[in-house]
Amino acid sequence: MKSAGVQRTLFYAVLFFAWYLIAWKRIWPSYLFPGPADVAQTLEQGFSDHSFQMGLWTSLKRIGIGYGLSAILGIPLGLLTARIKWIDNTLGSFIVGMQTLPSICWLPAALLWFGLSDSAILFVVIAGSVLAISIGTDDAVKNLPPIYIRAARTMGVRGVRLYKEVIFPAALPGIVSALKQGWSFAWRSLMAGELLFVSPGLGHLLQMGRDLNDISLVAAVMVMIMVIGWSIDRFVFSALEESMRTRRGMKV
Amino acid sequence: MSAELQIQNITKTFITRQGGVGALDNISLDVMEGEFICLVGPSGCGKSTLLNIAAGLESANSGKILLNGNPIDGPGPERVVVFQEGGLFPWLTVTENVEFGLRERLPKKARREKSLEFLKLVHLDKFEDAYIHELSGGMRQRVAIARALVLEPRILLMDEPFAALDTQTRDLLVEELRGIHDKLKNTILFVTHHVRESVHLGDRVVLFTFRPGRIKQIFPVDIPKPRDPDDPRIGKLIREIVDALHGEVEKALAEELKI
Repeated sequence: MKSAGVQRTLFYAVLFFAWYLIAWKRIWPSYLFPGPADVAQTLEQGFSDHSFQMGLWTSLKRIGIGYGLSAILGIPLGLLTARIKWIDNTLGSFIVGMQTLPSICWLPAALLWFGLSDSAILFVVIAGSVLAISIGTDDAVKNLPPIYIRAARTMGVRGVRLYKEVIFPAALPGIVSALKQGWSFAWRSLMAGELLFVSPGLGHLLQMGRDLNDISLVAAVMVMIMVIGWSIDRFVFSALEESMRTRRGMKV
Repeated sequence: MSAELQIQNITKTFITRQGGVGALDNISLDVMEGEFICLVGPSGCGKSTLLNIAAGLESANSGKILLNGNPIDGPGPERVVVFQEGGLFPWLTVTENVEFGLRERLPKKARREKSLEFLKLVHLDKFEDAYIHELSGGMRQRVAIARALVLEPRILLMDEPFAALDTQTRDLLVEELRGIHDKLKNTILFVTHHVRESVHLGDRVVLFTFRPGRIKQIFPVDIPKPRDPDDPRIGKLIREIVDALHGEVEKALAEELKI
């Protein structure tokens, strides 16, 4: 059995080689299908004239603020709907309904409310991820074994302490999964928003590639978007989940 | 001497673990300070429900329970429960679990010292930094006992604490619990369906009827502890309780099979 690392490296090597081969064979014209060299050149150029750094920085700043606010709002919201029946019956059902609305559908309204500003984009990012985080947190708390809460209560713990010291840490693995899902929703919402929006940012660079008929630029930006999304998922959320599972003996 | 814990006319209907409807019917019992009371009965008779009512985790339909004359209203650390299993917090280490109930009471250093002292009592001081999943079932119940005792409860409520353990571990823990009770003299309410265990530990064994749950008979165990399992008086008492229990278990079985 080869290790996962070897399998993965081999897979990407084959994929890369296939890409290289298809581009080299000119099955499609190079203005429709760029080769690895074209994309590498575009990346180099974009980073040397700082347009990529600016796009990255703008997008990361937006995702940081928008996603951060979503987490700050979404987790307490989920804790409330999970534990207080009447809030669940009212707000909880409303949240589930709202979640069916794709986040980009909020952009027209956001543009009318906030104008062509960062606030409009942030609104779309928050609308796209806060509900997913809240629903995931709600699920995590509702699925807790009731015995943790009973044990804490018999030791005299209640009120805010019960949330802070028992419910939250007990539900943490589920909350991290909720945050992970919220992250991917936030990232998608941001990219969708930026595509339709005149301002720097990765989504806008992508749109610019289309306007300039520059497929290499489109591909280079797509690669950057993927790498960021994947890195956060892998090095933040998966790492967190892994360490929590180990500590709690939940590894299979 | 007046009773420390007075259970007065407790009546309660509840859903059993098997999904049926059970009922406690007019249960009254006085428990003296330092007494070790074992509650025995067929599953579904409501002995665990009575324990939960005493813990304040459930409320009765009628009747009340008094602790030193004050009615019980909600859970509190003077009446800690040791559950059958799964009550420990997997995100904390062994010591952190034991310290948990002391967080509001003591500063950090005193907390650590005190929890170590109780971990020593259950012979787990070497495992203070382990996580719960690294422990065996018997070790986990030791931690649960230490976590409850460290709060110095007036009453320790134990809900079949050894039921999920293998026989050897169980015998060992029964003997240790007896030693701990001898040393600390907490009042203990101990739910079990294991007659031998109840006769080994209890000052009195309270036998419940099946449905509705009533107190069928109370067996005082007037044999000094530690008790020799080969003592003929023990054997005789076990037989008496098992005979009385037998009829109730048959009733329970008949009802289950009908459903």
